[in-house]
Amino acid sequence: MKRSVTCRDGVPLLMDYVEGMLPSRTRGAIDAHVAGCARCQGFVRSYLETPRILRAATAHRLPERFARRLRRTVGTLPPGRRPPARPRSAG
Amino acid sequence: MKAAAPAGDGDEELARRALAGEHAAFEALVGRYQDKVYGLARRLTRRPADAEEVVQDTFVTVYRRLETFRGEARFSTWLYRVATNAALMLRRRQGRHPTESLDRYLPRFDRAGRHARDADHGRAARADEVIDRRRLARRAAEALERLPDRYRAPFVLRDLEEMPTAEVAAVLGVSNDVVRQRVHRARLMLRGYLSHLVGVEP
Repeated sequence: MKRSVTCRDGVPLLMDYVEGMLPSRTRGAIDAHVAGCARCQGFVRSYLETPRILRAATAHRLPERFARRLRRTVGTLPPGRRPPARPRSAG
Repeated sequence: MKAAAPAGDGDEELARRALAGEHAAFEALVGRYQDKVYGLARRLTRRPADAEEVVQDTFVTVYRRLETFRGEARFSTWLYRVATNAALMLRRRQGRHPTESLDRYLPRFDRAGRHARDADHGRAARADEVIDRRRLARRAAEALERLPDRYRAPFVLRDLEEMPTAEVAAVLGVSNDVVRQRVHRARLMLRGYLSHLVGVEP
């Protein structure tokens, strides 16, 4: 008899599952498990939300004080080491 | 007199003009990417002073190596590769290694293969509603810091900077599959860590 899908089976496939990259048969088996498993429903929800929460919590704007310093630094870089290409002489 | 660098010019065209000696073209590239590179550097290094050092190193390095940019990759991919390497080099110079791995936050299962506890796993999905914003920001930065380098960079580039997998793979010099495997493992650890923060064991 075919063994039914467990929570443990689904976790390694979760990224492909939430991004729609599983073959339909595998996806169907995971769908059926998740539909009947409250723990997995919460797990999938939190897996999906983790990047969003981390993204918002670690977003930083460039400080204006540093932006000014960076502009000064960039402004003092020596000119390009290679001159603009000269037109080729005829012949 | 400086030549104007119109905002509509492509990165590769600006890089070509910068290499030809047009300083305004390079300044336009810096203006275009300084926020993105700073955001990336903060996530890879955590401390503001370190991020500033990485940003400055990145643009100076890119300027000095413009000749080596051959246009085979996108300019942005090359820039992020320089920035990511600068951040990794800085961390190595400082000898910073995670003090405690996040492995303990990976999911656990009982003998039947079920999630180990009958806990509200979805509570981690509401971590930003449950935890004070400043505390969450501090803890999130700590969590990124505790990820091993091989997981931190792919996760930051793909999930936080929202780059396509193929571009992350090009930045890091690994395959798409490796990027996806590492991002997945990072997500699992960080999901478990958020669960722990809201009082649910992974």
